[in-house]
Amino acid sequence: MAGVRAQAGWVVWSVAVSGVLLGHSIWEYRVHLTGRVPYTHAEVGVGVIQEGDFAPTDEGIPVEGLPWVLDPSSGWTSAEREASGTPCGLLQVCARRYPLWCSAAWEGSASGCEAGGVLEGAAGVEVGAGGELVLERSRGVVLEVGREGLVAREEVR
Amino acid sequence: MRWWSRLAVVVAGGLMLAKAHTTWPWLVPVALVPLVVSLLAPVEEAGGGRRPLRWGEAVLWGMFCYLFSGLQVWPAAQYGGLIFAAGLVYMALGGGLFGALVWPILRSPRRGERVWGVVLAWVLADATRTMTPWSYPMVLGGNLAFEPALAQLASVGGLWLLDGVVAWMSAWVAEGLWAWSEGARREGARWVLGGAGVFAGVLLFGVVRLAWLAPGAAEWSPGVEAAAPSSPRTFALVQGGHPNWLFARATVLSRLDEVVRAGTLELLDAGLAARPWGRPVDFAVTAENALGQVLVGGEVGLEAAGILARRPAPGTVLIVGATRYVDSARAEASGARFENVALALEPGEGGRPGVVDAVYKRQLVPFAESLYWRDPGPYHGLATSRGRLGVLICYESIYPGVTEALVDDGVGPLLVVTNDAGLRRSYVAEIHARLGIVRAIESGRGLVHAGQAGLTFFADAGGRRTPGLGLFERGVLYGAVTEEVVWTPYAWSGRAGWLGGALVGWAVLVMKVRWRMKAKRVA
Repeated sequence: MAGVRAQAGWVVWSVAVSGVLLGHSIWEYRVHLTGRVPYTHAEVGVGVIQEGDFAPTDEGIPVEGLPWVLDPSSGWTSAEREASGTPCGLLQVCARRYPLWCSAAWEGSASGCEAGGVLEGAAGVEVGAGGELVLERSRGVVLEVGREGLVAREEVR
Repeated sequence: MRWWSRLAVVVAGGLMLAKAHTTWPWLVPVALVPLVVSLLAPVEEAGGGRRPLRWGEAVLWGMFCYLFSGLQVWPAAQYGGLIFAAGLVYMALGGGLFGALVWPILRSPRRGERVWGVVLAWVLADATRTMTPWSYPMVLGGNLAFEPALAQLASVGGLWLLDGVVAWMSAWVAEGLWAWSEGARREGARWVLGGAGVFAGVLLFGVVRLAWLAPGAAEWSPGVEAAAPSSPRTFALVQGGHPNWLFARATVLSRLDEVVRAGTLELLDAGLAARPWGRPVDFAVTAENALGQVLVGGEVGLEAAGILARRPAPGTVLIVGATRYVDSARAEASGARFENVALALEPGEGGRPGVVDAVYKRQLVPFAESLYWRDPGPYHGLATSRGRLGVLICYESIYPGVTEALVDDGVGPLLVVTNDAGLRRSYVAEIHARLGIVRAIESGRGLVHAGQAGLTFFADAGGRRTPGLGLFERGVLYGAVTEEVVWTPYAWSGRAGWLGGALVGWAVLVMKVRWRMKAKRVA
């Protein structure tokens, strides 16, 4: 009888401990952790980062959503519009509009671009063999200059 | 114990281990109790008889306990499905190893021997987690660093002594509770009180040591009087509000540009302009991947990222954590494409910063980094005109061997540059911080922990943290750690003696128990 009582005691103790711990974990995971990843940077005036909501970090850009106009050309200067049609034009536009990300790439000359001597970009932006910007090589996403502006498209292989 | 009551106890044990590692670290001293009880209790057979647990059963119950623990921890750690599954398998193997190692000694009829068996098996099983890049050393004892007074034994015996003491406390309490449930109330109470006595001893040692140890770290805020530690090295730690390395995936380049500019470069300028304790900082730090881009090698990449446009005061060292492309010649030779680097830059002609030294991350994440990343040279300190820092990139601080190599190189304060916020709002950053604090106590050095988007704080050689910046907070943390090194027995002895001793002790105990059982059978 004592043995049965002891067994029951262990079970009751374990269930009580498990209940408290599991309950707290569920609250923590469902309430405390969820929805607390800030995607806005309002305090410094930077808008929403288009990364999607609570997604695993390996998802990257959803290819099925392409093409996307990343930067409408309506806001470009005339020099940028003109440059966009030249060799390495995409780099030039990118360098002028987003110096932290593409300036190194455009510091080379157009002839350097044609010779494949252009430096690689940044932030996951690489320069392809033809001077195109590859946003995500592994997923075949490239940047192009279109009439509407900078566009992300699926790479034509 | 019947299988269903053992199952209940093992589930509770898994949950306790998980919570002790994460949000309820005060459970650490007793977190092992249910697992030890489940391995200690004989099997109640249907006919009313009893038999000891078999070796295979001990392994399986150990695995199951850890599996349940992993189910708790890993989803909230938000690593993603594949790593979650791999983590579960890995953790289960760890639990199985503990069961396998402790089983031969738990057969002893002597409680004292069983307690030592738990301690030695636990330390040895945990030690296997720290030995390769393929393991993830979430060692239970390291979580005692949540309360510095409980973690001071790390100065004597490192993480291993903390881990052993944790197992010791739990084993005493487990023996006591088991004796109690078997009807031996007085004996049970004695063993439970023994466990409490061990805890009190650990606490007393910690309180005395901390009272003896002068504070070695301080935070500084403009307009707030705060004493700097002796021989201070001052820091400005830049923390952006976003995990920048994720922004390679962002789809609006102008926003990437703005975020890095606002989240890192503007704060860096503020840090360089500040005058904590009346003078420019010795070190201004941007953490791992704070620039949010893969840098082209050499000056060109730093120029593009805006770093060379900064103007640190004479005597200020700029430390930049970055991912870089390996240059093409070396890339062809090694097959590596990237390197994770911490660069030290000092002002040169016209105040323009130039690179004076670099250290590389060598403890590379399996697959994610190890396939394409460079792993150059031996560990060495980051040499600057303001001293030699022990730089640990990313999770290198959780591997004891890395800090030991840096200590052998004669470094001063330890500097962790990391990007834990990339794992979102999870426990990972806090667990990382606790193990870094253990490294500070072990090595007798101040710790500067700079997270790209959190956590960021200073700690001294006693493991006392300053107030800091939390996950996703944006700001600059100013402060100082002393460059003086506190002598510790562990920094002198290293881990070999402790782990070797644990292995020998375990083997002796196993032989002793086997020999006694054999002698009994013969008799």
